[in-house]
Order: sequence, then structure tokens, then C-alpha cells
Amino acid sequence: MRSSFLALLRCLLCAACCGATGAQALFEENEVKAAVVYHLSLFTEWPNGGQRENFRMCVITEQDAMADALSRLGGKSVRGARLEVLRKRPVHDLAGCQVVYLGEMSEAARNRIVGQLAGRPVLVVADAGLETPGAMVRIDLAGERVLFDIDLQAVHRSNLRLDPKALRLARSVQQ
Amino acid sequence: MTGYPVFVVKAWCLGGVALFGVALTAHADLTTLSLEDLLSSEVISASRFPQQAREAPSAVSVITAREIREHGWRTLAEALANVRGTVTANDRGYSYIGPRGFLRPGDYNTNLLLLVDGVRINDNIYHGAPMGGEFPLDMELIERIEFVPGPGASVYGNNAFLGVVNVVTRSGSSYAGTEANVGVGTHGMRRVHASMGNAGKGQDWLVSVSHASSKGHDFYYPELDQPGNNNGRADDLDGEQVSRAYAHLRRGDLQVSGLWADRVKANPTAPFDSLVGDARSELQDRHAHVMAHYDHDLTTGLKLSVLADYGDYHFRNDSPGDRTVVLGDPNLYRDNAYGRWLNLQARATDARMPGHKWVYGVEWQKDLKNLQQGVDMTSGAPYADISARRQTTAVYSQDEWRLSPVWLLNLGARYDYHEGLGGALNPRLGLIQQISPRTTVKYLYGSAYRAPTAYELAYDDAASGTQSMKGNPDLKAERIRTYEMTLEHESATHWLYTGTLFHYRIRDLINQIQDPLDSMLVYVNQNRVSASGLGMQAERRWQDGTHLRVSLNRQQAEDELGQRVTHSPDVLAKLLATIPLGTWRAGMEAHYTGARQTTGGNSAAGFWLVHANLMAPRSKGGGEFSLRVTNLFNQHYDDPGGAQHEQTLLPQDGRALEVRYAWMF
Repeated sequence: MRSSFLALLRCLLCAACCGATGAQALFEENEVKAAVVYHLSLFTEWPNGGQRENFRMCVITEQDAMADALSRLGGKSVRGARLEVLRKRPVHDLAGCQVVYLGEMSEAARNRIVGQLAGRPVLVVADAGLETPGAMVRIDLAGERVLFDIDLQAVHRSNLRLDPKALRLARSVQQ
Repeated sequence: MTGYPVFVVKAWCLGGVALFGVALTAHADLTTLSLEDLLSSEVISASRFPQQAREAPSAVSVITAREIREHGWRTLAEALANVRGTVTANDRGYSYIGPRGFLRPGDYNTNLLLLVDGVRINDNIYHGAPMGGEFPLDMELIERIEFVPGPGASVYGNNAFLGVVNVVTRSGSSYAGTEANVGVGTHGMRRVHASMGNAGKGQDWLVSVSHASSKGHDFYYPELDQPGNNNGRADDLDGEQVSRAYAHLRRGDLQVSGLWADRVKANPTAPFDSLVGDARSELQDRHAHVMAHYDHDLTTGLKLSVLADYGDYHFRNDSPGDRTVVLGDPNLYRDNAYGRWLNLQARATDARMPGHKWVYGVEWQKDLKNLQQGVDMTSGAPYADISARRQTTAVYSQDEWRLSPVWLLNLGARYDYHEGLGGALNPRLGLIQQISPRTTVKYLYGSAYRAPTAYELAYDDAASGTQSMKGNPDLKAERIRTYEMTLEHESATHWLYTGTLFHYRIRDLINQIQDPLDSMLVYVNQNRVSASGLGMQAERRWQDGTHLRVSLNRQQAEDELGQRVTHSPDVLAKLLATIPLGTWRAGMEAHYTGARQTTGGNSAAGFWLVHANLMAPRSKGGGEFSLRVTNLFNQHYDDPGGAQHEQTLLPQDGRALEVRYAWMF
């Protein structure tokens, strides 16, 4: 009985080796979140249109893997401009950024940044590891799906406009 | 089972895993997918080292919903068996978890605090933490399990002695629909479960029900082989029936949830001198909770959490006959325990002062009922009736003080006052050094206590005429002091390494002994235990879903005479692997438990145990098939019996198969 189980197991492991090239399309969390952030920036309208040469996305996180995933978006086009992804520290000036991604950092640092950007036309996307009041979009992982919530008041306060499609796809929209 | 085949298979496994890791590191450009497709695709959590875990004053282990599914764990004990350094045991009535290789058989896990969404599940009579079928929540409802080894009394108080297990339930939004599953397995295993949940309009709700039953195994206990005692045979006496229900509704800052679970387990081991093979031998555990959580941000950086719980617990033990009196005694002795309590907690988290994060909290628990009754069912004569209601009040505070970008100081203390038993002050000191963004060292000191339970203090069956247990009103709380150093490092290749060195000393350990004067079972503050050990773990997740974790723990626990503590193995090794097989996924776990001494002076031999789970991809219609084999190599192994057992070794389950099918719609 035992040997037949071992034989079965060997078969399974063999299948694993052979199956490696055809592995299913399971995506890595950070890659999906980065792509969602990119799509959200496509769905956003800034008050003065996109007259800049470069479209800036600023990334503040202690998590290197997420920063790497976002930096791979660099060079893509957003509203006719070239996307530039910059990694920033919480102390940096973020006024020149169109999109700010807030990842892992202390709660105090997050609150400071959100306070600094309040009312400015900057799309603030926060990863939902911590509560971030004032962020327009919160990206979250529920079960095995990436989701986002929108705070519409924060969007309006910043004079941004979000495409209704983004609102429709959000898990929740806070009015 | 010889060791050879397992090692060969492991080598194959590791080889395969290494190949995957190299082959699948390329990054796909997901921006070409639509937002809809991105939001509906299944993702694998990144290999990461979250800040909260990194800065926590302990070496936290987290078990995710995904791991539970990929390995098919049916009980909390099965999931926790995979945490580094834990030893598990089963006495056919309850499952036991011993952190850092330390386990007291028959103690109902009183050395662990079990929380569900922050609510204390340990009951108010035995202070037991239900870990097996008696755990009142379905595994499908768990979002994650946080296991925090070491003393947690500076925040949580009583029972957070060797560790804290916090089970976090799933949200309704993670369901966004209905899920139903059925399972069929060997030894009469049958299971149905259905849950439904969703979110929207500021609300989140979830409802779930389940029922499971199994027939279990037949046993022969040579120690009990006597003609009037069914010749030591316990056939058809290992069955289990579990029914559970759960619901929650969250609206804004308020969540109200309720859970209910009833578990009936036949008991083949004939504890407390009962007769073997009598079909009436049965245990029942019923847990019910209604809880309310309120979380509110008062201002930026100041958060208030209030929690109220109404808990209800019923325990029944039907114990047929008394083999010390006369073999074939037809009487049925029934012990009932009824517990009911109210628990209120309030906590403020204040991060307004730069560089500090203060937590202030109060907790109050009052017994509404704490009743232990024993009745001779044949004559109707009661032999025990003990009511012991108490209340506990506690205050605590903690500060996370960022001394510099490198150093974080965690200081905390809690004072608990147990009515009739006195107070306990438990501090904690943690110094966390962030050597680099990828490397953290933690230096920790903490103390904890475990108050004696109503059962240990007061239970006696004096009115039975054949008294076998007596109370000990002079019992004091057990106390522990722990010193620990932990190193956590994430390599550039995303391997997570954890190393822990620990030393702890327990005094006034509460142990059940047989009083040599009257040969009655009684709990006494008997031993001092001192233990030292080290643990090592390496873990990595690959992008294709491959997950590998290996750990090794060495520990030595000795009493004041320098004797090895019973039931405590000096070696524990664990391997956990998840491997994608094309679109299927295979989970495998292997555990090595070193030899354990029993109370009878002999020892339970060391053994390897291997479980495997195979999961088919979710079909278009939302169905998911899985097959689980526990004890793959049909290894024979024993767990040591407790003081209530005549048997020093209790044989455990051989190979078992279970097929499951889940629908999601």
C-alpha cells in the first residue's frame, strides 16, 4: 500500500516538473495592484488637463516589491504624456506629482502626507494596510481578489474627476 | 515507515520547487488587461514582511485563508500544527496545542488565549481553548490566524501564558455570493457547509451553517483488558458530530456577530476510571457568543474600539460505570458545566504624539453563571454541585516609542484583579532594532500568568460515595517569565529567515496529581519548569504560487529536579510546501515530533507525519474539487495520555482520505 502511494506521489511531482512551462496565469498581488493604479490614473481627469510633458507618479512605501512593480509602469503613456514613476520618501515634496501611491509606512507618516496634499489636484491611492482618511482611492485585497474603494468627497475636494466606469467597478463609493 | 522514502520525496520536492523559482520570475505586463479582468483575477499575496509584523514585540506567525484551502485543514489544531515550534496532541476527546514544544496533557489548552476577532473564546469554567472539532468556527470562515508565541498578558491578561491565537473572520465582501461545499471521507466522514455574504451601501454581512459527522476508529487498550471491562476494546466509540452557525452584520463603525457550535464526541479512552467500550461514553461542548465591535476614529490619530461579548458555554461528560468500584457497574455519571459571562472591553489607540503610539485599555468580565454539576443518572442522586461566579477587572497600557529610525521601544503593562484570587501585574519590554530595511532584531522580555480555573479550584465529587477528585481552594496562579531574542531577515531573493532564542521559567505550575494519602486526583501548584530553546525557519513564496517553509525547533524543558518535563519533545521539525501542478495545486506538510516522555515513565516514540492535499482549478461554473490524505504513509504513532487516563499512550489515526467539492456562485 505504501509503495503505491509513493508511486502516486512521484507521478504528481513528475507532473509538476512537466507542467512548469504551462503554469496557470495566477498573478502576483503587487503586479495586479500596480496595474490597477495605472488604470485608475487613466480614468482620472485633472483640472488643467495633461499639459505637462511628463506625468508623474510618486511612490512612497517601505515595501520594495510594490515599488518595483510600480516602477515597471514607467515609460507607459497616460493622457498623451510619458509616465514617470518616482520613488519618494515621506519627507519629500510631493506637489509635482499627479498620482501618489501610499504603501507601507507608519500611520503618522501617512497622515502627514495626506494632510500635506489635502485640496491639491493629486490622486492619492492608499494601500489598505492602514486606515488612511483623506485618500481618494484605497486598494485592498479581499480573499484572492484586488479591490478598491473610492472616497468621492476627497476626489471632489481635489477638483479631480473620476470616470463613472471606475466608480462602477469600485467595491464601495463613499459619497 | 522508514525515513528513507520520505527524504527521497522531500529531495524531489525541493528540486522541483527550486526549478519553478528560477523559471517563473519574469514579470507579465498586466496593464494590457482591462480593469474588469484585473479585478476578477486571482492573485497570490506578495512575499512581504508587513510593518505591523516587523514591529510587533514577538515573532508572529500568520496562517492565511489561502493556506487553509490549499492544505485542506479541517480544524484549528491541524492549521496550528504547521506553526514553527508547536507540538500537538489528541486524547480522542480534545486537541491540544503546545507552543515551543511545551504541552500539558488534559489541560484543555488553558495556557493559550484563543480569540475570535479579538473576543475571548476560552470559557469561564475550565478556561479551555477549543482547538479541534470543538472550535466553534468553520475553517472556511477564517481570513487569517495570527499566532503570537510568548507571554501576552501585558495586553490580554489571563491565559495569554505561552501564546495568543487570534482568528480573524472573513468579510461578507470576500464572498460576494454563496459558497457551498460537501465532503466525504473514510471512517464515515461526512460534511456539508454553506455560507453566503456580501457588501454594499456601507454594510457587510455574512451567514454560515455547517454540519459534520464521522465514525472514527476502533481501539484496543491492553492496559484496560479485563473481562468485566469489555476486554479493553472500544469499538464504534470515536464518532463525532459537529453543527455550527455564524452570522455578522457590519454597518459603518459597528459590527454585530453571533456564533454557535455544538460538538458531541464519543470517548473511547475511558477516562476517570469509567468502563471501556460502553456506548454511553460521550463528551459535549457547546459554545455560543453574541458580540458587538465598535471602532471609531475620534480625530486623526486617535481611535476608539469598544467590544462587548455575551458568552455561553455548556459542557457535558457522560462517564459510564466506575471500574474502581466494581467492574460492570451499570451506572451513568453525568457531569454538566454551565458557563455564561459578559465581557466588556474598551481601548484607545493614540498616535498623535510624534514618535509614540499609545494604547490604553480596560477590560471587565463578569460570570453570570459558573456551575459544575454531577449526577448519577441511574439513581438520580447528585454528587457535585458547585457554583463559583467571579469577576475580573483589568487596566493596561502600552507605548510604541520610536527612539530613532533604527530603534523602537515597546513598553507595556497590565493589571488584572480576579475576585477572590487577587491581582496580577504583568509587564512587557520589547526593543526592536531595524538593522536594515530587510533585517530586524527583537529583544523581548515579558511575564504572564494563568489563574486557576473554577474546575481546578473547586471541583469534587465528594457526594458520590466513591470520591475520586477533590478541589484545592489554595491554588495560586501559574506564572511565567520569558526572555527572547528574534532575528528576522528577508533576503534579496525574498527568502524570509527567522531565528529565535528563548528561555522561560514557570513557577507554581498547576498540575493534576493523585494525592498519595487518599489517592484522589487533585490540582496542585507543584512544579517549577525552566526551558530554553532555539527555532529556525526559512520561507519563500514564488510568483506562480509555490510556497515553501521549513522550520526546526530544539528545546529542553526541565523541572526543578532537572528531570525532563513530560510530553515535551526536544525536537520539532516541519515542512510545508504548496506546488502548482499545471492548473492543479498540491499541498504537502510533514511534521517530525521527537520522543515525548509520558507520566507513566515510558515514552512516546518520535515520528514523522505527512499529509497531502490536491486541489483542482476552479471550474467555469465555480466548482472546486479537492482530495486530502492525512497520514499519507499510515504511520503508527501515539500521543501521551493525561492524568485522567490509565493508558500512558493513546494510539492515533492512520491514513484517511477525504474528497471535497465546493461550489461558488
